[in-house]
Amino acid sequence: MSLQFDEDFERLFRTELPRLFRYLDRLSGEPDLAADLVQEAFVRLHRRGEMPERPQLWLVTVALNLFRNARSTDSRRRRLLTGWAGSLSPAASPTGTDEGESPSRVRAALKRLPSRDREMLLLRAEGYSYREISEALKLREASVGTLLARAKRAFREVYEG
Amino acid sequence: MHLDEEQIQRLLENDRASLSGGHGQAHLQSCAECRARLAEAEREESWLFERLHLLDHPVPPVSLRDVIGRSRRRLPAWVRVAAGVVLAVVTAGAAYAFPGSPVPHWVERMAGLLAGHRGVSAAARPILPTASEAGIAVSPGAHFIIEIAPDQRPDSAIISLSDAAELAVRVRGGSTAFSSDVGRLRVTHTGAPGTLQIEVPRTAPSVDLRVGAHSVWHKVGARIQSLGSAAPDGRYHLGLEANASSDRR
Repeated sequence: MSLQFDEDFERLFRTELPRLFRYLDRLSGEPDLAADLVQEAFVRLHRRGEMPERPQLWLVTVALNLFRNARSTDSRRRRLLTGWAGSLSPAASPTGTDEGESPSRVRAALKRLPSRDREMLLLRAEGYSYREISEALKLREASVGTLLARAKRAFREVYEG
Repeated sequence: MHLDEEQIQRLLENDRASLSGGHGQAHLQSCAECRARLAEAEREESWLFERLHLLDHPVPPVSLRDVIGRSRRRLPAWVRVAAGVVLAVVTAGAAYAFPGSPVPHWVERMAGLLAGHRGVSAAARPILPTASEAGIAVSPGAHFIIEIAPDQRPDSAIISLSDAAELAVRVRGGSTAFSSDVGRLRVTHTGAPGTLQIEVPRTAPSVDLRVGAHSVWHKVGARIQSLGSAAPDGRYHLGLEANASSDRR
């Protein structure tokens, strides 16, 4: 591992950690999980031993995959529990019950969006470029703007509906 | 022509290069409707970002030292691969060598299949012959038949149980040919009178000695059925000529 890599890694860690954490925190609604995933994404980059061509894109793609895997495992566990107890469905969570401009109302609206729209909006809010969004979510770059516009409208409708 | 939605959105990203040449820029300067759409898109996005900020939590104190420490705690990739290979080899070896394990039979079957089911199977190995002795050793698998050609047989057979893993067949005297298939060994004896000596592993689940279609000695588990009784030394002596006559009856 070169000295240059160590320097680049440290700089990236300082600049990208807050943005990556905020993205995963908003996406998951679980700050602890987001912190774990961010840490794991940086650990994987460090083990790689060399900087990818576009480190920010690499990090967010790895973090997103880690999040999906965690969600998939969590979902399987919940299905098993639900099948066993019959009472632990996600609907039992308190989100979406508050009125007004509250985090729970925003979260409830986000939850009702398709995952692609949700991930896209949150990436855009963190300042990722359209090109980065298209590559992280495997979308055609030329249509990212149109898809984003639809996702924004969908969010507003759900939020105000 | 007005700007399309993709172009309006790209302007939010300050991607003015996406406007096709000077025409798009000029259009935006001159078209009040498109400027209004852009302003509306900006308001919409600001409204969204304000809502999303409501979700934020403080950034946790993740330290660089922790991340690097976790990264270095893991073994290098080549060590993990080597450890995996060693573990796989040890497991396979243990599974093969474990008494009563079906793995040797599976290997034999697979070798038999690869060899095309014909001729001497890959698992059958000849025992080095002496001047007057020919022999072969095979893994008996789950069920094994030793089939003696009724019209070309040795005069007698001596069968004993052994602690070996392989079933061994030897013939003293005369000239003997062996051919094996999966789960079966055929013995053809010609020339001078000969004695068939068979050592059957105690662990073999099922071994059947036949003259033609006629079973003369059969072991299933620990139970043995034989046309001849066991001698005090535990060996079974069978006169194959006599059985041949009963076979012909």
